[in-house]
Amino acid sequence: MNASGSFKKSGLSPIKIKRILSDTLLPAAFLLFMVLGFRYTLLRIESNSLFVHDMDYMLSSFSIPGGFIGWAGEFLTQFLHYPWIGAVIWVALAVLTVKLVRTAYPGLCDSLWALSYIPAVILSIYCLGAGYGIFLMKSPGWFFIPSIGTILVLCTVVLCRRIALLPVRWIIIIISASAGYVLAGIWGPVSALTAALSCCQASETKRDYSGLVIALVSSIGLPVLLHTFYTTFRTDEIFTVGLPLINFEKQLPVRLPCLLLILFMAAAPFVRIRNNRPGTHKTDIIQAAVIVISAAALFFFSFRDRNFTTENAMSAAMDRYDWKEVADILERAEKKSAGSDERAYSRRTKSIGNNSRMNDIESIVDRYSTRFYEPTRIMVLYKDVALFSLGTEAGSMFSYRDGARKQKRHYEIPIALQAGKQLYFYWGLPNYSHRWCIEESVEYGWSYSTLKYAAMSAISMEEWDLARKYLDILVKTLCYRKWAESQLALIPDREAVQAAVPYNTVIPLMCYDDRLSNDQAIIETFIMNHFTSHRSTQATPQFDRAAMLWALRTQDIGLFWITFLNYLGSNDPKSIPRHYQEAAILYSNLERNTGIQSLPFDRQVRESYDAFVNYEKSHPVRNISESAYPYSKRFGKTFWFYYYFIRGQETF
Amino acid sequence: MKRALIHTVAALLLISCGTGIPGSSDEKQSLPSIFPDYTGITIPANIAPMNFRILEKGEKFLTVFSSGNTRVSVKGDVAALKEKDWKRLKNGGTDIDVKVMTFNKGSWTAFKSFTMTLSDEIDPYISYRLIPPSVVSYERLSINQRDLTSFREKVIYANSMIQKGDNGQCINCHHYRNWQTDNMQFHARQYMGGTIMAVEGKLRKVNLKTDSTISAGVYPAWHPTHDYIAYSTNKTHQSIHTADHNRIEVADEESDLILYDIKANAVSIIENDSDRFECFPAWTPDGKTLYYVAADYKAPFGPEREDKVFLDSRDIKYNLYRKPFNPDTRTWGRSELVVDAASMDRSITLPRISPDGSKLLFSMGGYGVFHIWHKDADLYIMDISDGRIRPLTEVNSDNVESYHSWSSNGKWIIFSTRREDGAYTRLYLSHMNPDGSFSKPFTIPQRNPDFNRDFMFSFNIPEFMKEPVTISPREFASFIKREAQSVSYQSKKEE
Repeated sequence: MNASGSFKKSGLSPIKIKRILSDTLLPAAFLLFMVLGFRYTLLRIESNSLFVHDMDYMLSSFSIPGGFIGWAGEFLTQFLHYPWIGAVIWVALAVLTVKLVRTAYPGLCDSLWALSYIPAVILSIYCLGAGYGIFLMKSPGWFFIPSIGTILVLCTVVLCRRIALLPVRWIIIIISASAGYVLAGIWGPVSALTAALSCCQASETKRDYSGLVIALVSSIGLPVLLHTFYTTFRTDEIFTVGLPLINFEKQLPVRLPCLLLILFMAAAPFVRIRNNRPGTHKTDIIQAAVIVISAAALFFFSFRDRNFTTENAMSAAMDRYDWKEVADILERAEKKSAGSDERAYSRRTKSIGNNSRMNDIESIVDRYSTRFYEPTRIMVLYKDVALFSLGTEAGSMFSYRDGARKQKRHYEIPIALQAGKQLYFYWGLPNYSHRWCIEESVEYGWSYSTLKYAAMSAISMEEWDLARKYLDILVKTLCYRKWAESQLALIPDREAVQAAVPYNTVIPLMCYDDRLSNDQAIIETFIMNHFTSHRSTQATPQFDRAAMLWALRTQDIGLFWITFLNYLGSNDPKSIPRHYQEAAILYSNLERNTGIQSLPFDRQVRESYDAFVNYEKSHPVRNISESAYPYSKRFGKTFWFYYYFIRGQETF
Repeated sequence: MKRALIHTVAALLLISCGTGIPGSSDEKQSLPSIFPDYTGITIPANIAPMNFRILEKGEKFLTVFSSGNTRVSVKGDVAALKEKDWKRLKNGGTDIDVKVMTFNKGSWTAFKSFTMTLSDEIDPYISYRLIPPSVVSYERLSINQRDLTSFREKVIYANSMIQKGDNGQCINCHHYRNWQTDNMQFHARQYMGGTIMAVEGKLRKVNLKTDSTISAGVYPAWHPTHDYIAYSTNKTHQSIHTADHNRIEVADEESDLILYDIKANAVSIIENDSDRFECFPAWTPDGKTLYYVAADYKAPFGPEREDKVFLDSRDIKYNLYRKPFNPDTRTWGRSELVVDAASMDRSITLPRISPDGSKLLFSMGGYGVFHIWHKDADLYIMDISDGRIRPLTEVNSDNVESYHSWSSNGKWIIFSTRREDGAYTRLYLSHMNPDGSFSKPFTIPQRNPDFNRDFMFSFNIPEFMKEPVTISPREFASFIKREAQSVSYQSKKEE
């Protein structure tokens, strides 16, 4: 017996079978797409959010209309800490949306049920298309706000359509517009209006235009009246409060999906699909087309960028102090790009081969430059922290691809706001880390991440009461409680703190004299300058190691020698790490300085340098970008490659 | 001891009757650990309930408040009283005794009881700015007013009502004339900037910057009898410490003093010595003397001055000065050095004179003028009649004590301090006893006693008020949107 036969026996029509299959397989496929493709984005969204299990925290959400919907969104966002669970919740809400659309708009969905997927697709695009916008989202719970808002609107529509008694319906409309506005912002009045519009067109109940008038008056009048009780938003935001808010001049990109959803729900009651009998060939084709177009739209509009994913994955590993994983993630990203790099190189070589004019060659090289893999600056900075914490930076920091590929974003987001708190903390500058935690919290509200780094900064500064303040909040969270308790157990025992991860690598770097400064939000330059120009007499061997890392990054010969001498003074001079040897050999040759002959350099390093010089003679460099790739294949893991081919690097 | 015993027995009887707990307990001679620490404090007769959390370990908790024949017991680790019960206690005829008991492993422990001594009434309102301890971000600022007799708090104005995106707005320096709110002011900086004033209840927005002054008005002092406001004008910069626990440094690059004549809508110079930073003016109650702080500093003007100021920041010490003033003729006498803090290697800021004109309260730290970031800053009091100074050791902590104000009856002071966690400023009250000493300070009560620990904003610039601000936040907002009135410049008159 075939499958359809068994369905027939169970009383299911082919239409229902298709619908059940579609309703099961599509959410399952989306779930996989979400978790496998966006796992680290979900983690980052979660770490940038905060939900505290505390009555006061809930009550504080009422300070702004729509605050409650944000609070509910934050409640759900906390489950993204386990991306599978968070994604299942998100998909469950999307499935509920589909079901509610079918119930609310039978005229639209009875024959073409695939249309009921449209709101879920819009919601998916909103969530997965945010990209770097996740760093600029100011609304708490933004990830779930449109889902909850849409469900609220649809529930109101369903409820109103099922109530025949007009006065009761009017009361629901007024409550939606008023209480809805207080709790869910503009989603409340939208519920009232959509329900009223729907009732105007409802065939199963008496058409009710009086409800529409009541909805119009209450949806405009009540928010205008209610807004006077609030001091947390501007008057021109009366009818947008409750929609996601981004820290960017133009709100439309982030709000467009919400507007489309509202438009869909407002227009749906008026759409009647005629002459489309369910189950016909024509209907099947239309349904399939809707699904294919939806899938294509989702694929096209979701933000899939390898560097973005890698940054988020590295950040997550860093927050677990899993330094090896941080470095491995970068290595895996490089390996994945090996094939595409090779293809780009061969195509570029072919294009150059057909041209002999220098200007043409330069333009070809420029054209192809973005086709080669290059990490973003944050990835490089994360990697340096990881290698330093592992203690392997001096032998492997140039084994990874360097660069500063522009992040794929349309907004200005300083690196300080993306990674300032982490980088400053791990480089032993907790005051600056704490400062960026505060700045971030003012702009975007406190998050698990800012509280965590603020607490660690306070602990490393031995400011126990302040650390307790932050940790006491984290204790009241679902996923950070254990971590917070482990930190509370450390304080105020100074020795326990100094021995614990990550303080055991951070505190030895805090051996500098205080100075007044300002990073102007350019953190890489600030940290570089801090280590290379502000060594104190109490400098530890770890500080001198860090100084060496940053001195190598400056490519400043004079600075290298000073830092190198400091390093030799505080670390074992008999065992000089590979990159230091490479820099010393290169710089001494450039300066024709023979003073380093007595240092215990490895034969292989000297031979590698000779090979580099000889290769350079046989393969002269006419354009750095052009030669970088072939040189990198032979010498990409050396300091001299970094010195000659990663020039004029922009710092952030 | 006898009284404590009576209260313990009464408390035990109460719980025995009400909760079925055996009427015996172990007596502990130590005070219970509670937050906030309200043990042995003097409180205003009209203050809101002094709710606290019991920090002792226990399976059950009981707190018994008693005053005269009135007793109120509260179960649970949060001793939160209803306002009507609190009123009953305050009307009980005596000070309020508090007995905390904990239940552990089958037996009750009674801690040593403590007293909240009822004293002079306090101004019913205070206002303050809520601000995160940030450097450059000030997206969420509000000036709020709190009814001290209850837990009601309202926003006077919040910058979220106007600012948009990059058009950020900083609001600061709220100030009242003689503790009354029909004459009040605050500044809005940057977006739609200007000084917002209520003069006899009527709003106006002015731009106090002229070509002859460094900046618009900054730190204000409203003349008590005439329509003048003294301001400092400041060119200020912020910088961040890499290692110091003080975290942030705010320093003047330039500062002077000006007088704003409200009726004439004109400003004139009070002090503008280019080799001296003058700041924080404060009038005596008769309006005939202006106190202020000033630091001598010589550095060439130009682009490097800012860096130089920060390099020298620890050497910049402010002294206390005063300057006679005739309010009828608007003429000034010669400045006089009152306290040479620099000679003590210290630096004074924020002089505030008591309503009877007999005492001057100020904050003194190691250097600079912005002591909110200086952990060594403490409160000091000077007897104006003989110039004697003493530190308020009974009030000070090992953390920041900074902005402070006198209540209108001169019996209370409110001050901001970072004693709780070192970073977030909290407001503390202390009563001035008849002998001039101050009572143990305590933080203003909150409905939820955990509030101070959880709240992520600093309380800044506490000012007492006899009455609430009745102008609505929306009215302020609509005024801020208006164009600021320019002021004219008047020449200074000297005797």
